[in-house]
Amino acid sequence: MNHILKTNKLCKSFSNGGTQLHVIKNLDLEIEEGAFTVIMGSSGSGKSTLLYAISGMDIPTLGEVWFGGQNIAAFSNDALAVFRRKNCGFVFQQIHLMDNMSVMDNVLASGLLLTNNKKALAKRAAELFTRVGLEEALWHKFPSQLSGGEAQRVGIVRALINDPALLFADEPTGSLNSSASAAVLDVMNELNTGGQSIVLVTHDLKTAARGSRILYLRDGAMFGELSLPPYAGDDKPLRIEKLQKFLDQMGW
Amino acid sequence: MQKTFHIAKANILRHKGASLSLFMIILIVSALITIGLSVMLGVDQDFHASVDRLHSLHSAFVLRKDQYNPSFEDILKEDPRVSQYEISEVVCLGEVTVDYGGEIELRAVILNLDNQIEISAPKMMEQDPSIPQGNAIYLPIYAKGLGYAVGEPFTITYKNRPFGLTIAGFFETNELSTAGMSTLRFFVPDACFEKLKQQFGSAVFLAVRFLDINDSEQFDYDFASRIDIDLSDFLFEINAYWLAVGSITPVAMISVLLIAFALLIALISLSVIRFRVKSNIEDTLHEIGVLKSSGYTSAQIIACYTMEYGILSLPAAIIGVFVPGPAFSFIRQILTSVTGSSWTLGTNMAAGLIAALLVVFLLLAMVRRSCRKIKKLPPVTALRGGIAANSFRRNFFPLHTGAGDVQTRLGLKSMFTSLKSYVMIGTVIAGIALAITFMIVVYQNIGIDQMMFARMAGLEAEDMELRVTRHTDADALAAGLETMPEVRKTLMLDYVDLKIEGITGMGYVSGDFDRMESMSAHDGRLPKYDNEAATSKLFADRLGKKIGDAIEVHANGVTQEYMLTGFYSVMSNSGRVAAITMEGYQRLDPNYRRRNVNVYLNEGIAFNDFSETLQKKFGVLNLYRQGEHGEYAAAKARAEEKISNYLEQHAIDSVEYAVILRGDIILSGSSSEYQIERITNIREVAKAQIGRYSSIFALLTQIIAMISLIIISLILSMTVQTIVTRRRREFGTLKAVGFTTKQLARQLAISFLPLAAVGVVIGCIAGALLVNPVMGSMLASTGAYGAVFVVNPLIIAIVGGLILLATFIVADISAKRIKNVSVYELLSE
Repeated sequence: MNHILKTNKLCKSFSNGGTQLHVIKNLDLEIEEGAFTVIMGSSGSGKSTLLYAISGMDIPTLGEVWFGGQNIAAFSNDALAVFRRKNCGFVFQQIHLMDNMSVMDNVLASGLLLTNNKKALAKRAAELFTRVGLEEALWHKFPSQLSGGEAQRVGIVRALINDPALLFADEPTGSLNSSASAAVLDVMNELNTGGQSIVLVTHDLKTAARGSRILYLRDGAMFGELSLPPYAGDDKPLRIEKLQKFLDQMGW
Repeated sequence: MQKTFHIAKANILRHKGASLSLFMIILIVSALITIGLSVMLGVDQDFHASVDRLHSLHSAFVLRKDQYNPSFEDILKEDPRVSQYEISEVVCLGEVTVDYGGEIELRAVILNLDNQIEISAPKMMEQDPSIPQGNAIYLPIYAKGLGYAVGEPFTITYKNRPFGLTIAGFFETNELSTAGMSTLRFFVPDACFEKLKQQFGSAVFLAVRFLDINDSEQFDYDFASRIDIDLSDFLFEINAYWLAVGSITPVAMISVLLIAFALLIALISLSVIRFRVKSNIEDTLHEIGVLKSSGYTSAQIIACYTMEYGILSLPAAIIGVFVPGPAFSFIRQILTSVTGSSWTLGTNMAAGLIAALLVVFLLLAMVRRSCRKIKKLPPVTALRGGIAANSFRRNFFPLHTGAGDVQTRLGLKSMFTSLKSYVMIGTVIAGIALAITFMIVVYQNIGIDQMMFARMAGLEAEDMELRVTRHTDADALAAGLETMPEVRKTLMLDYVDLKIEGITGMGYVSGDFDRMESMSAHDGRLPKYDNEAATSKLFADRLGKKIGDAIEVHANGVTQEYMLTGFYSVMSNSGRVAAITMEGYQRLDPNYRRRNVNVYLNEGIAFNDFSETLQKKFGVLNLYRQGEHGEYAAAKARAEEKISNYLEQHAIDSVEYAVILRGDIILSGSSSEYQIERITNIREVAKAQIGRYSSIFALLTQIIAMISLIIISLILSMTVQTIVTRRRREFGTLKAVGFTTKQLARQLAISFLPLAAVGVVIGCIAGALLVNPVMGSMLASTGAYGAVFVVNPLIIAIVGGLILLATFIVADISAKRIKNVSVYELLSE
C-alpha cells in the first residue's frame, strides 16, 4: 500500500515556565493511503499533539512531514491553511460547530473556500447529509437544536465537503453516548470502505477496534503497531479481543 | 482584601493589551478634562493677574502736539477714578501697512524704549542688544507666533514709503498687540525714535490706569468733554483694556469645546467599559463558579472586578491630571498666539483631580452595575459556564443563497451574532464622528476660508475697498467702475469715528445697506432713513437698548438722536458700532462726501492684476506694489507720498508736479490724474483680523481628529481582543477548516462595518446639526449673532468615509493578533 503521509524525525516541544516539555520525540511514521489508522496511547502520550502536527494544524518543532511530495512542516501558517482546506478534513471531540450558523452554513463555510458555486456545493452537502443519515429537516436548524450524534455527523459532513485526501478525527465519539458513537463510527467505516484514508485518535477500545492499523504511542515515540483486517461489522468481539491483547502487551 | 487584590492583579495581567488600552483612554479623558477646566477656570483670573503684573494700560489718548495743553495733566491728577497716568512722546502713524499675519493696514504707536515708563513698561522676553540701535524695533510677543524672529527685518510702510527696521526683541504685553485690536504698540531705542520723529513728527501719548476698570469708558467720555477736544480730533483714543478682554473670548470657546469633547470621550469610555465587564464576566463564568464554590461571596467577587478597574483607572486618571503640566508651556504659546496677551496659566490641580476622581467614581459605579449578574448566579450554573443563552431564531445571511462572497457573509453573520457588541462600537463611532464632523465644519468655515467666516461675522466681504482722492467724485468713479468687465458691482461703505451714547465707536455709513451681500440684520433691519441706526446686539445689551429705542450719536461736534432699527453681526471693535445711512451721517457732518468705493470683482479676476488696471486707468496714489524696488520706484513713491500729504494737509483738489532725479524729469503731471488714494485688499484684512480664530480652530480640529483616531484605535483594539477571546473556538474551527488569518481578520473587520457606518451617518448628521446652535451661541459672545456655518455635504461624506476606512483598517490590523495562535492552541483553550 502507498503511503499518503510520512514523517521524518518529527519533534514537538512545548515551553512551560522556562521548562521544555518534549511531547513528540524523533518520530518516524507512515500513513497508508486508504487505511483506517488509529493512534492510541495513555493520557499525555502525545497522540493528539501528533495528530495536530501531522495534519498541519500545528507547526512541529523539528523534523519533516511529507505529503504529496511537499514537506508541510516548512509551510507558513497561511500555506498550512490552504493545505488543510485542500487536503484535510477534521472531526473533533467537541465537534466545534459554529453556534451562530445553521447546519448547512457550517458545512458550506468550509466548502466555499474552494468554490463559489453555491448551488453545486449545497447539492454535495445534501448528498453527504443523506449519506451520514441526517434528515433534511435538520439541515437548516442551529447546532444547539441537534443531539450530540447529529451534531457530530454534521462535523463529519463538514470534514468531507472538500473531498479531502485525509480525514483526521480526534476522539470523535468522546462526547457521545454509546448509540450515537456507534452510528458515527459506522459512518466512518463506511467512508473508509469507500477508499477514504482516516487517521483517528482515541483512547476508547471500541472505537479503536474499528481501525485497520493501530499505532501505540508512549512518551512521544512509537511503541507498537497492530494490523487488523478491514472492519466487517460482525467481527467486533474478535477485534476487541485482539486489540485488548495488544494493549495489554503495550502496558496500557 | 489581599486575595481580592491578587485576583484583580491577575486579571489585569491576563488581558495586558486591553488593560493598557483602558488605561490610555482614561488617561486621555482625564488629561483633556484637566486642560479644559484649567483653561476655562483660569483664563479670566490669569488675564487680570497679567494686567496687574504688567501694570497694563487701561485707556490711552494720542493728541497732536498743538492740541496738548499742560492743564490736561491737572484733570487727570484731580480725577478720583484715575489711579495713575503718564504722559510721553510717541510717533503715531495712522494707516501703516505691515505684514502682521497678512499685509494689513492699521495704526501704529511707536514708543521710545529709553524713556522710563511705568504704565505697561515693556517686559522683554527675548532681545538682542547687538542689533544696531538706529533701526532696532521691539515687537509684542504675539508677532513671534506669526513667524518673526530676532534679527529679522520688519517693514512699516507708511504712505507707500517702506521703513525698514530690524527686530531686536519681543516684549510681553496684553494690549495693542494683535491685528484684531486695529492698533499696534511698538518700542524702538532712542536713536531710532529720533529718526522716526524727524521723519514723521511726534505726538503726545496719555496713558491712564483706573482704580476700578469699569469706570474707564465713562472717564474717556468725560475727559474728552473736559479738555474740550472733540473725539474725532484726537489722533486716536483707545480703551486698551476692553479690547484685550474681547481678545480672550476665543479662549473661553476653545476650553468649552475641549471639555465637551472630553465628556464625550468619557461617555464613550463608560459604554466600552460596561461592554468589557460584561464580556469578562461571561468569559470567566467557570472561574466565578470555582470562587463561589470555594466560599467567596458575590460581594467579594464583585470587589475583585471593581478593584481590577480601580487599579487601572485611578492611577490613569491621576496621571492624566499631571500629564498636561509640561504641555502648558505649549498651551500658553497657543493662547498668546490667539490673544496677543501673555499667560502664566498652568494646571488647575484641584479642579483636575476632582474631575478625574469623578470620572473614576462613575466608572466604578458602572463596573458594579455591570456586575449585578454575578449576584444571581448559583455556583453550579457558573461552573457549567452559565445557562446556554443561544436563542438564534434566524439564520442571517445564509451561505447557500444570496450575493456576496463567503468572507462578507460570514462577517455579517458575526455581526448579528454579537449585535450588542457591535451596537456599542457603532455608538462609539457615532460619538467620534460627531466630534470630528463638528470640528471639520468649524474648521472649514473659520480655518480654511477666512472670508466665509468674515461674512458670517457680518463683515461686508467685497474684494477691494477704494479710498478716493479728495477731488474725486466717488459716485462717478463707482459708475465708471461698474461698466468695467472685471467688476461685478460696487457699493458704498465708509467707516467713520463717532461716539455712541458717549462710548467711542465706529460708524458704518452707506447709502447701499439694501444691496449688501453679507452685512445684514439678524434682528430687525438695517437703517433706511436718515433718523435710523443699527448696532450690534452685544453693544445694545450693554447700553440697555432695544429695537425702537433712541440712541445718541456724536461726531463732528454735533450730537443727534437716531432710532434703533435692528442689530447686525460685527466682531470688530467689541461690537461698539452704529450703521447709519449717508443722509443720516450728513445730519452730523453736512459737508461729508463719500470716500470709499467698495468693489466686487467677477470670478477669476486677480486683485493685483485689477489694481494695476486701476492704476493705469484712474491713477492710484498709494498703490502698494510688492517687489517693486529701485531708485525710480523709490523716487516715484516719495513723490506720490508728498502729493498725498499736500492734498490732505491743505484740503485742495489738485497740484501740478514734476519729479526730478539727478537733473532729469522722471515724472510729471497733475494730482488730479489720481482718482484713487488707496486700495485695500479686504481678503488680507479678514485674514489678519480673523487669523487668530482660524489658526486656533485649525489646531483644535487637528488635536481632536488625532485624539479621536487614538481613541478609535484603542477601543477597537480592545473590543477586537475581547471578541477574539470570546470567539476563540470559532476562529480555531475556521482556521482548522482552512481559513487563513488574513481571511479571518478581514471577516472581523467587515463585521464592524455596517454598524460603524450607521454610527458614522448618525454622528456626522448630529455633528452637522449641532454646529450652528452650539457655535452660534458661543460666537454671540463675540458680537457675531446669527452666525450660519455652511455645511458642505460632500466634505462631510468624505470625512465619514475616512472614519469608516480608519475603522476598517484598525479592526483589520487588530484582528491579526490571531495570527500567532495555532489552531491547536485556539481549540484547546
